[in-house]
Amino acid sequence: MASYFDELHVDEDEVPTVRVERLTRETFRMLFDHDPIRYGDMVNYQSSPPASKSEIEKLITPLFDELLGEQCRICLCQYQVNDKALTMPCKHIFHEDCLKTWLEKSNFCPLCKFELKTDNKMYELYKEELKKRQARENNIAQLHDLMFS
Amino acid sequence: MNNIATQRIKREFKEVIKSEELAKCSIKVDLVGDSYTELKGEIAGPPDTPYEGGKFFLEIKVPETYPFNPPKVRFMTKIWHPNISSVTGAICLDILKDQWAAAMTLRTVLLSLQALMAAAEPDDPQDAVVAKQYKEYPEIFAKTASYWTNVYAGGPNKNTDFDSKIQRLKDMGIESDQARGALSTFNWDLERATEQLFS
Repeated sequence: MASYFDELHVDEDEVPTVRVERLTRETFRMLFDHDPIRYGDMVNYQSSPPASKSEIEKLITPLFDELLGEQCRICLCQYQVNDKALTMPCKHIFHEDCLKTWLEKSNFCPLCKFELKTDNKMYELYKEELKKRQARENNIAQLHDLMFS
Repeated sequence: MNNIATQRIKREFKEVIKSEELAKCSIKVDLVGDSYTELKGEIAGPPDTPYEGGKFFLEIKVPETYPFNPPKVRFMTKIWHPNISSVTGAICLDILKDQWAAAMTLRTVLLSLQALMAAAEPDDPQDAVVAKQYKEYPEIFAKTASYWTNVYAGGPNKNTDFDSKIQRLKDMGIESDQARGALSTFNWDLERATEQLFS
């Protein structure tokens, strides 16, 4: 086991939770390196986890003016006076009940796929890793352009 | 069925009926019976594809949890396509699975299926046999898909060569759908199809 930890540069004296997190990250990295398309998909294809409750509570109520003549794109009904609605951070508005039912199942905006944070640690780690990889690739591409253009 | 699902399907009906695609005869939705839980979809084969000129019928089942879960959709018309089972009509399309979003509608589903017919994704196949042919023998694939469109979906392209091969197998007592399936699978090699059917 020692050699396994050595290989991944994990200090055995590390606090267990930190170690678990680092190992998970390393595992993701190895899976990505092994077969990025397949393992990217593997995590991606498990349907997205529900949005975090605290994130849902943070959503704000739109002004009535914003609802006038508009339609909730989940139930396809026009907004009526006294209807309760919520605004996503991406500015898309839905009925409160419609949106909450959706976010209890999936963490993204039904219209533009903007993602709210989830309570699923694996999923958050995976997304973080994906973001880092994209940033790295962009950097390399930029560097390449600088050198050869 | 709960209210939101029924209410939504009713509203969507109006949407599809009003849509310009219906006017162009490219997509259509009909009720099956009185309930809004089972519907029949219809899509025209997209132009410049082997499916052109064909009419494809779909079975659409609306779950009680719609629109929070996707409708269950299957091809009732037999079709030769890498992402659709040539046997059961089951479809491999991300928006009918994990990529579904509550703002999508029957109209977006039918249009996505039409787009899938125009641009197959052989690396994410539902029918491995078809996908293999699509990648290795694209010309045979196009001819086979066009022939299936003619036989099952009313498409215009007859193929007398394929017909006569099927007739040869029918003469040996094989049922025509089965003969067509075996010949399509073996790239219209009569010998190999016969071998497989009688093994």
